[in-house]
Amino acid sequence: MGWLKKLKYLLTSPKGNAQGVKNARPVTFGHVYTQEELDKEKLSSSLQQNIDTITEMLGFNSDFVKREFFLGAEQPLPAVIFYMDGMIDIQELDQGIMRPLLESYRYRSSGSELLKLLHSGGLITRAEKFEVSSFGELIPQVLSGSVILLVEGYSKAIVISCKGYEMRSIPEPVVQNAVRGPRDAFIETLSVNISLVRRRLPTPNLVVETIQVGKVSSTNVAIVHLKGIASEGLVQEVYQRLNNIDIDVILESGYIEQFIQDSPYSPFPQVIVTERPDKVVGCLAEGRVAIFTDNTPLALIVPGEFMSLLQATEDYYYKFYFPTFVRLLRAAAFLVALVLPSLYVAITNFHQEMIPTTLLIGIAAARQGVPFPAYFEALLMELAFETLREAGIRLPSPVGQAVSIVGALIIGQAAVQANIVSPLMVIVVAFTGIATFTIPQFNLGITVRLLRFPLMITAALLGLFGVMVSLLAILLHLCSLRSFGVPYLSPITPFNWQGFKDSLVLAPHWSRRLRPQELVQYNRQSMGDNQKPQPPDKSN
Amino acid sequence: MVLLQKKLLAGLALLLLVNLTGCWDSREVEQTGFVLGVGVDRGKEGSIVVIAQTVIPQPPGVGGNAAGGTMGQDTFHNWYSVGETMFDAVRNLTQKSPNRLFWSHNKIYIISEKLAREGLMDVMDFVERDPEFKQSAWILIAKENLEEIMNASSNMKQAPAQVLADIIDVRDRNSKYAVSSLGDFLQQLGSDKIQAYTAGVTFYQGLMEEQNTVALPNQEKPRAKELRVMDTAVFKQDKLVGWLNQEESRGLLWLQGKVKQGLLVLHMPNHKMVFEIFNSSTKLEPVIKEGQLIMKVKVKVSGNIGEMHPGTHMNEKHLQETEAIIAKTVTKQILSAVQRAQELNTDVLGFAAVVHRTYPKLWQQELAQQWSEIFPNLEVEVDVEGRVRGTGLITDPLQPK
Repeated sequence: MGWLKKLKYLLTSPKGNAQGVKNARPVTFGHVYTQEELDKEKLSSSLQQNIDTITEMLGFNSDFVKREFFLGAEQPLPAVIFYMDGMIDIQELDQGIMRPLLESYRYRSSGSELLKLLHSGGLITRAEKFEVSSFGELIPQVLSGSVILLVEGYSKAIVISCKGYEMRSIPEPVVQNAVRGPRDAFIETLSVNISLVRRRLPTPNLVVETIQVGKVSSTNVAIVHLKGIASEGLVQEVYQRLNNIDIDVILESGYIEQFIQDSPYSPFPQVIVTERPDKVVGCLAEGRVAIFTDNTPLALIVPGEFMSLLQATEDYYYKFYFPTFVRLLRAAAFLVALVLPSLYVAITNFHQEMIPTTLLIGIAAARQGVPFPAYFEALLMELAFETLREAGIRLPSPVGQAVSIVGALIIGQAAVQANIVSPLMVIVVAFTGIATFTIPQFNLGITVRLLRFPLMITAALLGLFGVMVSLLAILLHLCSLRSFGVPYLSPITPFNWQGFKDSLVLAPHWSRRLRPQELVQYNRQSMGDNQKPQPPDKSN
Repeated sequence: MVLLQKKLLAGLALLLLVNLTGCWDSREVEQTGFVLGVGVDRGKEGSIVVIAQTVIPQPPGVGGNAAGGTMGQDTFHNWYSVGETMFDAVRNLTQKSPNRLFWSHNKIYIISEKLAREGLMDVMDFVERDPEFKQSAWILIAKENLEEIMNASSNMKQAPAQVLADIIDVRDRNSKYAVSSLGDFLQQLGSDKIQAYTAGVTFYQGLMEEQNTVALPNQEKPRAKELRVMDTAVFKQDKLVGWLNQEESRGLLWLQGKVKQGLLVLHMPNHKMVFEIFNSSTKLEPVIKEGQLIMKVKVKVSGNIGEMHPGTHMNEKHLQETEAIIAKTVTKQILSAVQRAQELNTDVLGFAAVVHRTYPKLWQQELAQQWSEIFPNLEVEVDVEGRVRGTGLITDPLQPK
């Protein structure tokens, strides 16, 4: 970090430019605090000393607010409250904290008596209130939206929770839409997300443990599981993997995902990512563990094996025929999305005897005058498609639609008419793109999009043989993967019948009496016997 | 770092390789000539003439479907080539065709009658040996000039080979000729239990006028040539020895158990009636009676009355009469085929195979050597059971009143 030193030198050295310039920045680079340092620093009984310490640490921040006042009418005690502007509910601060403190002289006059009352839990009407004695505990509290009350002669700080920052209201799911099912989705606030889950599972067995991850960001990460269903080993493993993360900042759950994966180099996602509370609850009931990250509207669920990534929550809300059909369709679409362009390249270039004559003549006619070989055409179109998709995401939403229409329709049409690509290739690429969108987990979709390219290259080099070799390599890789100890391809291989009922197909709810074997070891029965609906006995 | 750089460079080189390699058997579709039909004839001084028919893909959006065509535009091209042998002639095609010819979509393999009469082993080895030739292609014998047959197409200007393949696809509807696929034909040639047979192809002047020719003012426009698959060529070893006509061809199909559809026109005492075959089964059973080999043929045929002339009344008795006449007609067809095959002394009926299967020891010991003497004089007993299942929607024909 040489450049940082240089910058520091320029700004702080007496000969540097910063000193000579008018209107130079008044704040100097002060001391950089570490957590250990803060922990060591205890609060003193002198109010002024405490104020000085805090002001030294936070005083230069423009959103840092300090309010000094006197407690009591006779023998008033000097007191002060601190908070960070914008992090607290001002209304609550005025009504629940400031008003009782300032109007307290009406009931008791002495400052020390009021302090005693305060200590015993009186005076302040806010519910969440506790005391801390070191700056190590105090500073994070004030920075995360608590009000700190310091009183002269009292060597502890009173922390009053008064959080009230701006947050989104609960939105509809954006990525994981559903026709049938609840319409709420997670937001950036951890506590709200937890409440969405807890509202669906009002049981003492729902365990929410929170740990802080990130040296600088101290992001709250909640591990949620259902006691008695989730295996203890799994919960322990999740806890340990999260605890081992040592990183400055966690911006999003994606950071966590990368740190807790079994095979970090695998292109396949090993974690379920969802924005739907009902998905989380369903997975918890199966014995999985959910990980919520503060400031992330997405929850992670582990283990995430392959079949679970092809399932949508909505599947469970319909009668089993339809989900079975849709799941098979999705599996087919997954294959199509993976291999269709490479199959097209391989067959048209190497195995023309496999195509029905009429279709072959059609392909030959469509390709008349196209200057590029088929594989190059496929690569070109796929890259163009990916570019369009990326542009569609990045563009501001008012422009995005126009661009996607221009890109998809006009450029495609023009490219065909200009004989740069054949119309059939456009169909192949477009269908491949659409097939990708049937995969409910977008991180699996990304994998498919990426793997398509090496497949196309092997197809161009070796034909169907190349495609088969690549597919075999992918299959071998999938067989060797594990997600939190669960084989990635289970319950297909290793096969187990109970699990299979909820994998590629979906058996009726009443026939899936047992919880997945690979997740739950004990307490496997999830419903009573004979749940299959029967017509009432006619003899009665 | 150096290692990483080297790895990166290697990766880049690999990526570039994709664009540099020729991929030895990679073949772009638009640079390939798809052969739909092959015609083979004997040229001068023992040379072999090969006519390869390729499709010219029609650019999309001009109108017409891909296999069909548009007005005034050729949809197929016949490449003509002469060589000392079949393969030589085929390879000589590359002197003329700009596209590499691809034979796996070949549907029709036509051999001129002249060549077939001389013996066609010269032209069969290559198609058997070469991996690109599909055994499912149909083999046909040209009854007329091969070149004209390869040119005769008026059906949407489709390639004649495609037209022939489509005609053969519906062969069961008439069951008037017996055709063999290339694979079956090769097998028949190599077998001593059955002799080879396949259908003939000819052309005739159709009713439609030729589209592309300009006629003089007082001259009639020439009629377009149309194709027809008819009769069955019968081989002895690899030489064509004769033809079975429609009736005899049907007899051959009965014996092969291949009549699944088709009509029987029944000549009743004073009117005609058409019986539409729905299903049939054939059983060949050779028996030895008093030291004499007799071939028993049992045929069961069922179907509907398809057409009836007025003046008849359908009742139980009439139905029995009809069934008897059905049996008689089928018997006649079978016997005519047998008679013709015996005349030509070529066992296209496959009797030898049945005898071999039934009496393997006897066949090994004596019948195999004597078969050419036994077959022409083999007694054939035909037993046909005809059954009318229904009369269609009505029983009696409309009576004019």
